[in-house]
Amino acid sequence: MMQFLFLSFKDQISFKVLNLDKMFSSFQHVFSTLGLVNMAASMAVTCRSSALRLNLLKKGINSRCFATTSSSNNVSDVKQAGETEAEYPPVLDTSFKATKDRETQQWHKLIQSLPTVQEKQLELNMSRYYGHWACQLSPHDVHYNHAEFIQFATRTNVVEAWPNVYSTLDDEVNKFLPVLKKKVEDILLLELCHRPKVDRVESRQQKETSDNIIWAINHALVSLLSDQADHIADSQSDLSPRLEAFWWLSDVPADSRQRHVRSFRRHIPEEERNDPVSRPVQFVGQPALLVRGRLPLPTLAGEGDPVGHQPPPLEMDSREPRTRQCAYKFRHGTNIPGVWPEDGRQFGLVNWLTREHLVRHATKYGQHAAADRPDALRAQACLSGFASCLSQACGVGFSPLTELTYPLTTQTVITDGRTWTFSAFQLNTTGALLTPAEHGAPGNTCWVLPEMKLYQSVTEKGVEGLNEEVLKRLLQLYLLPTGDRDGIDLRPYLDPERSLADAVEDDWLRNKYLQTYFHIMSCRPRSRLKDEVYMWEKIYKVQFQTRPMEARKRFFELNKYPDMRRLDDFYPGYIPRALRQNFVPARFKAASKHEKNVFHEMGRLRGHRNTDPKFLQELQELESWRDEKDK
Amino acid sequence: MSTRLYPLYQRGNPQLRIFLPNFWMKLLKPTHPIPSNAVQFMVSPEMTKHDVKQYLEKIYNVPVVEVNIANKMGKLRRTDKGYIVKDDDLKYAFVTLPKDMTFEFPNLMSEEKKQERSDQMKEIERVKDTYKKDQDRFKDRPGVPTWFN
Repeated sequence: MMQFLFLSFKDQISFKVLNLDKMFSSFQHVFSTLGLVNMAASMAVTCRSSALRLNLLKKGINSRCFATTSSSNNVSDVKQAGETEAEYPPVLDTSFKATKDRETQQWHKLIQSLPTVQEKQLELNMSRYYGHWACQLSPHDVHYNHAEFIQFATRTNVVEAWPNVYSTLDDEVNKFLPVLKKKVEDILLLELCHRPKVDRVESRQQKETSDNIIWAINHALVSLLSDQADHIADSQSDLSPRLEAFWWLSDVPADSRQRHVRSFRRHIPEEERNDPVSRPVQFVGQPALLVRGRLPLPTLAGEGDPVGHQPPPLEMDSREPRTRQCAYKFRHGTNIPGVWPEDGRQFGLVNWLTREHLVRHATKYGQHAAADRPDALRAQACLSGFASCLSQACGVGFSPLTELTYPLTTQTVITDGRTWTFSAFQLNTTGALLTPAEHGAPGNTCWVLPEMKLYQSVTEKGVEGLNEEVLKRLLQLYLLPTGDRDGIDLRPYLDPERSLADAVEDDWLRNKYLQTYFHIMSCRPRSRLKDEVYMWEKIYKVQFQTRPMEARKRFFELNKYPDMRRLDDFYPGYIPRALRQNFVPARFKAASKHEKNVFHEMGRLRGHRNTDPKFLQELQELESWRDEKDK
Repeated sequence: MSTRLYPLYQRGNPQLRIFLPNFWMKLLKPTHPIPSNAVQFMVSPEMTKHDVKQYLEKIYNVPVVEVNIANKMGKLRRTDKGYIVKDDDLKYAFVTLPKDMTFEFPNLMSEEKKQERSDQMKEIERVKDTYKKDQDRFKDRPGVPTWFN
């Protein structure tokens, strides 16, 4: 009978933990007086168990009372019997913000641990079926006083000088200069004097001329240097490739809508309602020409160089992109450096951009345009440099949410054939993980030179006043040798043996996965467009409930929000009954009439990642590797 | 303008005087941070961005780099009789000045005045509160004055 009573008491203790210290001491007293020493001892052990202690922590009760009460002779007896000291899990901050931060960290680690580029890029888009609401940036829309915002958005410092690395190439440059000069003169004569003119809009005309000159000069440079420079001989040139980059911009102030929504959430304390947010940003550009190779360019400023490692500019009047005339749009995040991830030549060497947007800039801003032009060029150089480096980084296995292990570099030429601007960009950080606490960390650096004229005039007789300085800079860009970074793995977060083709043996599954990847990267709209609330519904159903008797069938009446739909949340394609393999009648298995959900299948093949020991081990290795590196 | 039609000017007619112009601009204090060289206005819905630019440049000699216009839909509300009506739309103009210029919205009310206004509002709230309490106290006894106890 007593035994039964005790059991029931013990149950009570483990589930009801109010006034535990009182209950505990009174029970112990009762059992001791009754002579049930063993029972009292076992109860003490129960109370020391980690589960109970966790319960106590959850309820906010200080568990020290147990440590004092349980230090009786009975407990020490039990310890001697071979019991080891309990190991408690770490006490975590359970506030809403801390929990969310931990989830985000875990997601970042997941992206880092995925073995292929395609999987990483899909994971970035996995949370939004209809795309992220992303700020759209383009090299064609250069607004007034745009450089300030672009420097903030790309975490870039501008240095109006030229990196010292190039000064070592002077001998080689002088060797090739006379030949290049002759070739460039021929090209200019052909393009500006002998090519028949077509009547076009000014910006279009300028674009065509500059494209022609760029392609011809690049061809001349590559053919001239191929014998001497192996990296040029091995390079590839693309005309008008897709250059797209996607990242998260932290430190954007919360807008009124965000503050309004937060005011309804009880778990967000009042002082956190105005906290800044992270906004997705999408850059979409198309350089006139891109030269790329197998190995990266060298670092332009080493770790000790203070010029290349200044903290990024973060203080501004208004950090909201909409006040800087940049619009938001729903779009899938795409990181495309001009090539697909399977290509061998992932690293960009020279980006060639045109200046036709400056014609529009001049028309739009009239008398203020001339003073703003250096700013516009600086903005273009920063934006293209950042986008190029970031998308390259994504191509070699980093992501906007994974910090780089080595800096990446690219070179940019902006020209219309006559006026030339040279810039070099070094990506030290992807910037998305930059929290206010890390404001002192180094940002990216963009070296920009002022505008230079290549020639004074071109007539039938020849080119007058050809500026050799421009050609020297151009040769420097092409002659800067690429190479391996000493002792650094260029693709630390990619599994070399697990490209997507190796990772997924099943043909159907692999094709399906690639199909989804290319569909996302193509940025075509979904075949079924996003549900919208029509105006009459907003007035008569949402804002004023004037139709209470109607059946609630629309998505907003069923609490389904299309913006929150995940990419892996869809019905796979329908298979006609005649074509189904291993046919199972629908009454037994409703899902059999659909194709397999590719994401679920991938998950099944890889195992559930959070419990998969191999995944956890990889994660552990990566972390320890990074820690050692930081030391 | 108070008249709907613009009167055709004939030579010799008296000079045309306008008392209620169609084009008006109201300077606003921005509700969110905007760049220091930007100014926000509420303007007449008939004005285009060219009108706004001309207005500021010709009348006030303010150099304007760019004007952006935003139309905001009027609020929907229910009237006393239960009809749902829409208020007039509003047009906002965001004007960008040259980058070496800054504009700060002037402080229109002194600190004492603000304090006075706030005290008055508190008093009004207190009176409203008292009135409501009295109403609640006597809600089951219609017609009985509040001093009756």
